[in-house]
Amino acid sequence: MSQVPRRTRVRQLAESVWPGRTVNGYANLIAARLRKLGDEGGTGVLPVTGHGDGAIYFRGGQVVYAESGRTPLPAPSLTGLAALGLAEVPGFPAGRRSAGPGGGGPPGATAQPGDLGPRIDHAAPGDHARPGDHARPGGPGQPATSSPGPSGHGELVAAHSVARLARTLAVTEAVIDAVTELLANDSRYAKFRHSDDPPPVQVRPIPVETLLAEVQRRHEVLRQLAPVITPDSAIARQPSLDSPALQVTQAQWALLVRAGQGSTPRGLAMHLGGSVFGTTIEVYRLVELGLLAVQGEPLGPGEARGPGEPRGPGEHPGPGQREQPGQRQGPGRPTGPSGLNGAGQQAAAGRPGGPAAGRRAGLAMSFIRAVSGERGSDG
Amino acid sequence: MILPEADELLTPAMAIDGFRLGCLVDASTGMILASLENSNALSPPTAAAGAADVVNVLALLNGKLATGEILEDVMITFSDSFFMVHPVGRDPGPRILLLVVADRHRTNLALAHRALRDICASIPS
Repeated sequence: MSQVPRRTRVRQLAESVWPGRTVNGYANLIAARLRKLGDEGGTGVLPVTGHGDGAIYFRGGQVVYAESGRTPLPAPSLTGLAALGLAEVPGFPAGRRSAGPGGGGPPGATAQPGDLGPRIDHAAPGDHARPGDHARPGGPGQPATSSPGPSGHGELVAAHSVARLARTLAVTEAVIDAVTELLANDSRYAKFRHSDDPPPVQVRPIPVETLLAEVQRRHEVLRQLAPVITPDSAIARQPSLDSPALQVTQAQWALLVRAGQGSTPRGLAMHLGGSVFGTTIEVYRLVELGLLAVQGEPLGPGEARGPGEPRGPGEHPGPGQREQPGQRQGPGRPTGPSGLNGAGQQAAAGRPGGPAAGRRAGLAMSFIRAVSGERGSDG
Repeated sequence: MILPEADELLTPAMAIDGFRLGCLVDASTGMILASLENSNALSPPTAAAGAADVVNVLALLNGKLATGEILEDVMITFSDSFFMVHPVGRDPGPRILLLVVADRHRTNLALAHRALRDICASIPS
């Protein structure tokens, strides 16, 4: 009897019947459809169903907007959109709006169970997160405030300032994040609907090839991070830290104070109105710093298990089980040539490096490897 | 190129002697926002990805050291080129990076460093 699973065999057969369909799913079919729409200069909406329902909006063959049910929409506080030349359509379902900083949470929202303290959006520059440190009223964080939106001029404005560039980036990021999700392997597209109606929000038109290249790079980064963390991995704050002090950025602090038991990068992104991709990477960095732990993973920061590395019997922790003291490196342990991100660290629990250590080292260079992967062998 | 209008921010960097490549990079995702290049020898995505990775590794270093300092810039010297990375804006957690690659044999590093600092300072926050 063949050792190839039936599902794989069926897919292989399908590939032989329908050119362009691959065993990896439908993502390349959607990509091909996007390219065709780009070549045709299409204007309208391409609905996408599957893992995350959504739609991609075209204008003149370029992507002007996209949304997915599994990624946040551009936060209203960011969408002083008129000044970015981005029109909002009245009547766009408010329920689909994300709860971005200053844009969503109810006034006076209280901390969720497991939160460090009251919701805090920003740490003051230079604030340090210390072991056991809790958010203090009037301390490092300030209540969420929405930055005053730019006055609307209703025209496309060049990014002359950092703030404006950052806002433009944030909105564009939401669109790219949605397309990244929509081009998942199990997504399928429906019939393209030609329409001149403006999308709910419009970003600067993005050429299809540029968009697909960026999405492919992101998929590659996520694939490399998958042994450690995925957008849907459950995370929790580390109950104890081995560093006397740690310094985090505002974005990291915002994640830390919201990361409760069972939080996921996707959930945090939806809550904060950030991108799922960016939040996953930021959470990964917090895991490397030892401030967060991936639930169900007994390894410490930077001690990711490679995809092909087998788990031994009894090695898999039960639900809620945490690593034991002594499994992680203390401050005095040697950290190897890098010592920063776990790349050079040898696991304290008897893992003397080897191929797995090499893979861990590679994870540190996630972006650059993803770019290289575009040209090299994949899979 | 995701944000072509950001080209304007890069244009002054072309005045640096030996300029080969300039990119605005989203530090958190490694995405190129805009790029200008004088030669096709360099791959902007690879250079940008490397810059983002370097800055993020340094951010981890800074986080571990916890001295309260802020990363001002990164200078990397290769045999034939300088890689200069400067966060844009005064945000302690750099969101956008300016990467400039210059020909080492034609560039005065001190002047290039100063030019880069002035460019970033000239962009209103």
